[in-house]
Amino acid sequence: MTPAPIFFALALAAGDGGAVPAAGGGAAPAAEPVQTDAFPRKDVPPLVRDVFKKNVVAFCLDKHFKMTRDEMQWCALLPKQDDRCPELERACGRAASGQLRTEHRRQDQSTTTITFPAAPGGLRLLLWLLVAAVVAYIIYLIAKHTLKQRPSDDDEDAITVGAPVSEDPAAALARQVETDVQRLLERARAAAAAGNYFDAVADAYAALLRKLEGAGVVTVESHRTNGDHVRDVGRQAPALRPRMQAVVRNVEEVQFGGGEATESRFRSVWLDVIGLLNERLAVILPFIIKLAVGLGLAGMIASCNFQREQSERATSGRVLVWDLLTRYGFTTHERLAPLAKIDKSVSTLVLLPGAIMDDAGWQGIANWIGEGGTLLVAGGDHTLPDWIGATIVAHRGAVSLTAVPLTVSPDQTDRLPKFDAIVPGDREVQLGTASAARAQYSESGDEEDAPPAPLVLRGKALYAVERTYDNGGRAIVLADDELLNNVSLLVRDNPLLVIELLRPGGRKIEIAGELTGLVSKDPITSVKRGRLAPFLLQLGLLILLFFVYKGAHFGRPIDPAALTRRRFAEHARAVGLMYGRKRAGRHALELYGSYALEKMRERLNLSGGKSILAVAEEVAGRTGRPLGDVMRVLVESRPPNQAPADLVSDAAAQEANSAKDLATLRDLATLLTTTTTGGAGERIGAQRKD
Amino acid sequence: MNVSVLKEKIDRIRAEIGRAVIGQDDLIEHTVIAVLARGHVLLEGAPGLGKTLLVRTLGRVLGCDSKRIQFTPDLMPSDVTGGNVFNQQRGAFEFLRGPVFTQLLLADEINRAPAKTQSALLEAMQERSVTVDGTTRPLPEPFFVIATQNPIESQGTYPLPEAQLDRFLFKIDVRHPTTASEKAILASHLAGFDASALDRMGLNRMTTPEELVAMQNAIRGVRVDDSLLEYIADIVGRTRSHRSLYFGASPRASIALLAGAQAHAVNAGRDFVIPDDVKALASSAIRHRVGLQPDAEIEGVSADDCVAEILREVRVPATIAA
Repeated sequence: MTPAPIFFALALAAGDGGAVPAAGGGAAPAAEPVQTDAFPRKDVPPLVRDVFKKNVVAFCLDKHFKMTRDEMQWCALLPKQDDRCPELERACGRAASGQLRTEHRRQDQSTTTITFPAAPGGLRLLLWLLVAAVVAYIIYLIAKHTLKQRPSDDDEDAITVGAPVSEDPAAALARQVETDVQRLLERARAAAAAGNYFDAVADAYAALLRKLEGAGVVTVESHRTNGDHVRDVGRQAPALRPRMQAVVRNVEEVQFGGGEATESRFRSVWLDVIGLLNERLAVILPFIIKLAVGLGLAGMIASCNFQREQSERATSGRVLVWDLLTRYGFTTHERLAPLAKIDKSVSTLVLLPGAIMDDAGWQGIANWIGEGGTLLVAGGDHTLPDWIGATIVAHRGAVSLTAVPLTVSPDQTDRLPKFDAIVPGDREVQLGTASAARAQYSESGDEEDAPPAPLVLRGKALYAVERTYDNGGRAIVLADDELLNNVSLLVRDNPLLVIELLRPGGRKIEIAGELTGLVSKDPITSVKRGRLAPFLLQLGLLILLFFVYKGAHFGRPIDPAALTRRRFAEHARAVGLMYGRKRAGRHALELYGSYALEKMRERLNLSGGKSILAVAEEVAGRTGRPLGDVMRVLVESRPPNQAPADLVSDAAAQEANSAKDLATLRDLATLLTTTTTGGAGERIGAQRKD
Repeated sequence: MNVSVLKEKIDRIRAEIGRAVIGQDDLIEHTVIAVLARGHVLLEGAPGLGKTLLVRTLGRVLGCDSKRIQFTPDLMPSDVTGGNVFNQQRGAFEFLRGPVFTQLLLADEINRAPAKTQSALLEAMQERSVTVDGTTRPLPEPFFVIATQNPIESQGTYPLPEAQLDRFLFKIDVRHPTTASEKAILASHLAGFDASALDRMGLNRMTTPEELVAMQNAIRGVRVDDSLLEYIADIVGRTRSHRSLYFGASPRASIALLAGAQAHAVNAGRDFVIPDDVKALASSAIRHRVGLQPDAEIEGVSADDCVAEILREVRVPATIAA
């Protein structure tokens, strides 16, 4: 079922790159090898057709799609009138006529490109405008505050003072609830002009409250008092509290203190209200800052995702390749964890150009290959370690080196199925010294004593090298990542070649790209990698400026919820109250009477359902109480033999007898308590046995 | 006596009490307000929270004659009010005054005495007089009772009857101090503070009984708008129809709330009452005057919860809300 591995195992001599160096310079620890469960081949072209059918990609469907200059080099290799990707041919035509998209190739982005603000179009503009407006306003406020400038008196001058008139309660009642600030202010002016200062004060204050409510500083509800509003302002904007308190004091003196609503009092309220209204932006500044931060972060995240999604679905993207691999039977995941921690649960690692590599990462990969893992280096500017025995060389601006079909050496044709693949590009792989000698040796045909040569694929130059190590580990180096581009799937047998390179490695593929290893150990590294330092510094500066000016604290203190635990006695009392409310005292007495009678029988060893008389005699004998008294208590605690004539009279009777029932219940409890076990009961029990 | 003078005196009284009773600012404030409103106070809290210390300190700071009764199960009514004793030398009965004949009476652990002894205080608290063997004797002015009870212990206690509870202007829940306050208490003890030796602390007398009566009379003149009378009546009235309350508060609660709000207003430096004064004292004035429905009690609803809910429902006078 499983064919022999396509590639020969090549054991290279130590120091010659054949043995993968273990961590710490020693031999790799003997461990369970990576599971490389190679699986049977499938027919690839139908899968490729499915991939293009199920995925919506712009370069195949968008009639106005433009290619980049780098993507354009594929055009010469594409089949004509390919119904899998109908618009691509026209896009090539537009590219030939100079209609190109200005976008860099993926491999040119050697590092993560998270920038601030990176939101698309309008959002970015809005964000910058917002930040600029906030900063400008803070500077303005600080300047104004420093120079102790007072609010403009224009509004004050606009008031026309009239003769005082007394308030008409009916008119006050008829006043509607107005929530618009400007209309309230106008109404206050009008009332003042008419000499109705009571309404004028109320309207001016209402305007202030509505403005503060709109800014999210106070909550206006029918149960909230002026004191509540002052406390709200104190929490949100402590600097404004004294002025708010002054307004409230004046207003309350008019509303509740019997103070006359005079012109001078109105002017005082009006000035304070206008002053506070002019401070409105300062009041809502925390909200603006929070909004800006939220928008900024959301924009960054959205733009990252959006750009990434767009990029992956472009001609030079890779989403279709991963889809093909999934349909073939592979499982593909983007690797986020550091490469230094790669383990045998991963069968194949695809190293993309954007991946950030360091010594620890290479060491981790080396150990993992020693356990049988497969590494595919898809181009990039990585400095490959010596044990791979190959380097990638770029010929920028040179004529395409590999725009001829790829071939395998004649003696290695059995290592791959017959294929017809072609890849454009300006890069090549160069074998290391020892490895190059082996390749030459292999090419000379004298293979008796020579170790097996690495598999090489050539176009005009060397495009790919595949080397196999001890324990079946492999390292494949491609000159670039063109073979893994979406558009490559449309070209000849390129998809087959991709699959055949990866298939012997096993099903579980992890893709190492720009985000790999960005899981940072500490926040500083995280900020550094995310390039968030400028943003955070600006944000911190903004908050600092605001704090210096306002001394505002962010957030609202909330009292912790007090935990309460109830006593059992309270529950018992509650149940008793429940009985009392339902007028079920008689019922409770009957229940307790039955319980007490049974308990007495049990304690007195009067089993067999002895009559009440027998119980009463025994209890009387033990307690010394008169028999009649005991009998009365026991009988009164029994349920009545007849049903009551009607519920109303029964309820009335119960209420009247409740005190008597309670006394009976207490007597019964006393009898039960004083009736101890043993004594006469034991004697009676002994006599019964005899 | 104008408001600013009153406020200054009140502030000084509170500050002086605060020297001995640390970390119980709300308790001090409410107690002083109750005294100024000519009301009696029931303090409920766990042992060791400074209830007795507060009352002793209050007596000294107010310059009032104070006496303490430790309520016990065998305490008799005559132990509180006093009684007629036969004087063999004179051959006649003489009235021996009980400890109730004082200006500040501390009824410590009042719920440890049976109902008949508790009831001996009823007339004293309401009428400010004591009737023994048909003779009514007035109590000195000012007169106020500050009673304490422990909510934790239930064995050997006699819950105060509703009629008795209603006599108290406020029931104040004494809560544990914060960590910072507790640290301050410890520091005070390290510095030599001894609750049993207040004499050594040098507490100043901030007022005289006459001045206190004058303050009480002045506070009665604090203005209360009609809308606030309606507000108070609405709050108290709703306790009678609240779904979680078995019985609501009596009109005496409204009066208590009104008097308390007047004192609270003066405490804030105002000569008129505002809705905040009413809201601030609503729980203290109502919580002991209502009875919870059994189901509400089982569900853990407290009287304070009900009052808070009512305060959220009642429309505040002069609000701009719709």
